[in-house]
Amino acid sequence: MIHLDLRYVGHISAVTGILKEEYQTNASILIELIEELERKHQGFKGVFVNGETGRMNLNAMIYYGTEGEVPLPIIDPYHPIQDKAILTFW
Amino acid sequence: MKARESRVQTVMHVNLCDGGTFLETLPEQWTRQYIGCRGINGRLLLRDVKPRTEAFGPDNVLLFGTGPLDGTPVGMGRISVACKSPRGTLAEGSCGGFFGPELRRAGIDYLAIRGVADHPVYLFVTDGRVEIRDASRLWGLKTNETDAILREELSDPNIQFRYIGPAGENLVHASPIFGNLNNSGGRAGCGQVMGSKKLKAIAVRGSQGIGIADYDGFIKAYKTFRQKVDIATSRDPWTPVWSTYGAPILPRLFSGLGNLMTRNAREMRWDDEKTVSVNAEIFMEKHVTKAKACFCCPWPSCQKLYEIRSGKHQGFKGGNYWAGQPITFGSLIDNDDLELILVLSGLCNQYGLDIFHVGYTLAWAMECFENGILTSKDTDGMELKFGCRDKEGLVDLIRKIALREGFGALLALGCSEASKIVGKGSERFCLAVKGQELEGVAQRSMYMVALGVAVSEVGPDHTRWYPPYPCNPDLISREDLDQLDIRLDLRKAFQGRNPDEKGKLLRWFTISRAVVESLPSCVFLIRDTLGLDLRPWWNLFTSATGLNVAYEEFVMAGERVMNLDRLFNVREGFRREDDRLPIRMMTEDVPYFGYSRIGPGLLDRMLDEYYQENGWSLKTSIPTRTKLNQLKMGEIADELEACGVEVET
Repeated sequence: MIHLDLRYVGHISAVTGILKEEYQTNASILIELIEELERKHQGFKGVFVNGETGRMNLNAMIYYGTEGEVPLPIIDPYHPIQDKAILTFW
Repeated sequence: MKARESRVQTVMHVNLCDGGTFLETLPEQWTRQYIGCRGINGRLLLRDVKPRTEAFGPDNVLLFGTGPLDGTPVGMGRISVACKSPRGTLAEGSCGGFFGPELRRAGIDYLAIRGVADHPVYLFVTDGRVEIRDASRLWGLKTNETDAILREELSDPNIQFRYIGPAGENLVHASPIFGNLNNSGGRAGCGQVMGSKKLKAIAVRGSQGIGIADYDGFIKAYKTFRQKVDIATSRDPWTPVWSTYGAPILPRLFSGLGNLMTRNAREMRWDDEKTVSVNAEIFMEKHVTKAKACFCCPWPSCQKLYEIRSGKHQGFKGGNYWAGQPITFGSLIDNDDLELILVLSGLCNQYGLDIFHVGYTLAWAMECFENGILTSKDTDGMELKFGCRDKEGLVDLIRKIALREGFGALLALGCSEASKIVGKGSERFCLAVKGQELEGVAQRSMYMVALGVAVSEVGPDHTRWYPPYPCNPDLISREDLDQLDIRLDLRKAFQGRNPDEKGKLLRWFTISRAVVESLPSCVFLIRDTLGLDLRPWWNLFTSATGLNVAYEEFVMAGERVMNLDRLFNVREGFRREDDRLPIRMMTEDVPYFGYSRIGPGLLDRMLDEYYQENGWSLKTSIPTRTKLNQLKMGEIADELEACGVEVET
């Protein structure tokens, strides 16, 4: 089980109904996390993942960072997720 | 309805000294060479404002420019306002709204206003005519009051206005020109110059159509453009969020990236809870009453009208909460009271002040206060500290700045001039370049931005290079880039703190944004591949004007426009040594994310590359004769030499 700091910006917060949450998960890669979040916040996955190709949508963005590190955008659905990571969805 | 051609543009000259007016038709060649709007304003300034003209004298010319795409769904109602700045540089800025299309509908593409009236006046512009009317009763009124009175007097809901507030009348530093209550442009001092001419407002109403030479071609080009900026089809992550929430989503993103100017940019990351409290989501939920957009803009929620619904300022109404407001009146002065931010920025609009001037000068004063350089004896008794405990004092300070009262008189000068008066080392807290305060985009984490801020002829102005990154490299192939003759390494361009290729990158951004602002359109709509592949803009221009202009010639027009900016400043005596950054950015590291300072060696390295790529002298930054000849601007090189400027071969 890992602990994540999830932040939702702008129109994404309209999907989740919240601006941020402390989140615990067994997901180890981005797509597993997104699928978990889809179950919690219906419509979430469709914003970030193209249903036909399985690739990340170009009109959405996810920043991935850890404490004290500059976050970087991630576009690979298989990007590993580590404990104490900060993910900003927008 | 009569429709005007877009290939030939007209200038209405107005002399406020004698009331004389005449309409000049510009050569068609000018549309080919400078496109319009910002480009033609730049050419007119160089032609009509003589070297060393007094900014507040009768010979300074205040220009309002439209362009060939104004009044079409691509123009977004943008205008360029320009003159010589009171700081001696070029003053030019663009602004959205509805004024531009209306001016074109009145048969006029540019207003060129010279002279000084002997009493306050306003201009009433109708089809090909300008009437100078008395504005004594409007002098001293705020922008919202002026708008309401003129709108009632002229009894026509479709009349469009530009006006200044008391700040412009009182020649307060950096005052812009306002319209549609909350849209402003020309923060380099155009409002001050308008005030010096005793010109309170301009009202315009036209009845003509906007000519499109090749209608079918234009519609086809528009569909391509629209696809790249529409929320349903754009391949750009900014489009959905900007279409629905607008720029105030940026503080949260900026803070997470170490890009948020905090406590006068001593830090670049604000407390998470504070950032959330002033961000777009809370603003939308608590205060927004109506979404608002400029003329035909596809992003319906870029601007918003708001009303404070509770507390001491209940009932206060304003508009336009972008990124600048939560930064300058939020993180920069460490104020997480959203209602206070809305009141301070709303009052700036009403008094006709520039929010960046006021925010950065307040932050400068707060840091001076905390370091004992200023005391409560200087500040009319205010405890001027970060965190803003004296909220009502701050609210009143906006009025005092606009009216130059008490401590406000010092802040009305801007932080650059104020720090010269105060001394005692206060200049190290002054975040300004060429006398003008910074805006909201960080420098120490993005070297191209640092370079762009340093070289900008008008002072810090993000529209010169916004957005500060190219599109997703996956959207455009190397073959396409080669075909477009763009020799940029896009992946390296995304490495914000790698100085390599930043000069080359900035050069392309400056040229392409000069093209977009000269058409005109809005640089915030440079999405998807529109900042690299200018062919959609070119197709819109050629179909609207009917001009047979090659793509290379179209891009070269942008290069001419950026050179015009430099030439104006060169003629006024600005050189390489003026292309600098604030002391803080060059001497202090950013805590937390570990961004280091931009030392002089690093800045010089990027300047060398930028000047080299531009064909400018490395020693002076003056464009060389070879470059000016290549751009078919040799006659301007002759004019410069006649003024005593040494133009290298």
